[in-house]
Amino acid sequence: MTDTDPFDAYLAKALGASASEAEIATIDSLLRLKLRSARESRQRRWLIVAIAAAALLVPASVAASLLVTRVTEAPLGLQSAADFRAEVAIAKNDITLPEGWRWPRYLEVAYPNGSYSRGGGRLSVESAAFCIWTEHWLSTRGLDDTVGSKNALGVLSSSRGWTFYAGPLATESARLAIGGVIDAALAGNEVPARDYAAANCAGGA
Amino acid sequence: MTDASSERTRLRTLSDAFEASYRANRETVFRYLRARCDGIEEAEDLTATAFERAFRAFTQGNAAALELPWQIATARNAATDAGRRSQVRRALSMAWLMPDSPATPEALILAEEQRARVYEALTTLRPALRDAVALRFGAGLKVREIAPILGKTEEATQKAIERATAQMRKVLDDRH
Repeated sequence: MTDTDPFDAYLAKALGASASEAEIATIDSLLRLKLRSARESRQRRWLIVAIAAAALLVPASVAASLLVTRVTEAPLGLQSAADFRAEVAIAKNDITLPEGWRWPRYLEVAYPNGSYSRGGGRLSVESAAFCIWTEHWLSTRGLDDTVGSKNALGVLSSSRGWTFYAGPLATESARLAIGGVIDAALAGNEVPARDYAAANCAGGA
Repeated sequence: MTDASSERTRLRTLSDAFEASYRANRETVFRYLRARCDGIEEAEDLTATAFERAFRAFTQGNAAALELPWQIATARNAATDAGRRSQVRRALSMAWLMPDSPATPEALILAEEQRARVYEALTTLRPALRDAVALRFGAGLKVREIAPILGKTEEATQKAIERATAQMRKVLDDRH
């Protein structure tokens, strides 16, 4: 590209800067995940059709055992830093933060050659988001911001559907604690939210 | 050659062709989205989404999906869809503004500040103008390449880019 205008050249330099190796590695991982997810989705559809057909032909116990074998594959194990970073990126894109809030720095991958827990990235992002929305809800109470408060309560309520609450890595004790914060907030009680934020949230962002 | 082995060969050929296109164009698509979106993670995710769609289209017989204009247009659609879904804009991520090359701390700070100002000026543009700037200076496309993507004539595209850069220059001058 030839830019005779110095300002155009300045823009080209600022906006056309090369992607970093970490960014390219993340895009590669994200693409792999998306292609794998699409493939598994197709396979699941075939599996459902196969199980339905099998149920007509074989005893129910055999079909059930096939299903159990499929769903008890634990989503655990380790993954590379690039895959972990991709997992974090996808989770961040799934959740909108309140205006003015930023994701905490601890979600960034510090060790590019390290191994990370599969599923841990989403769990960390959702935990951070729950903290931020809890703190945001508390801040709207102080400002008497009814719309902001309702919006925050809506997000906190919907967090029961997030992986950190409903997924295979969530524990019953965590569900009790988080559910307690949500139920109390919906009832207008700030105390559990304040206690939770003080104990678990490092100042949000 | 059996049917199974010819099918494997066909799939490997398709896969190789897609990978070559992906490696050649992923950074251009990413730079476009980075200039168009408000967050680095969003740009990374949308880049992958664009190429996932390209792969699907290509394996279904659309050879154009290996070409940069198709991939940029798909990235643009994905970004528009994502923009509609996002009701609250996220806080700006300035991480990408940091230059990769090592430099003195003073130079790094200066470069970061300059790029941050450019990015802030970019956010003052209305979406259509920001899109034109992202295609021109983020992706590094020529006006004749941008025009069909925007669905405009080359002249109208050139004018849009000039209007956008004039507005950015004014914003940067006013804040300086």
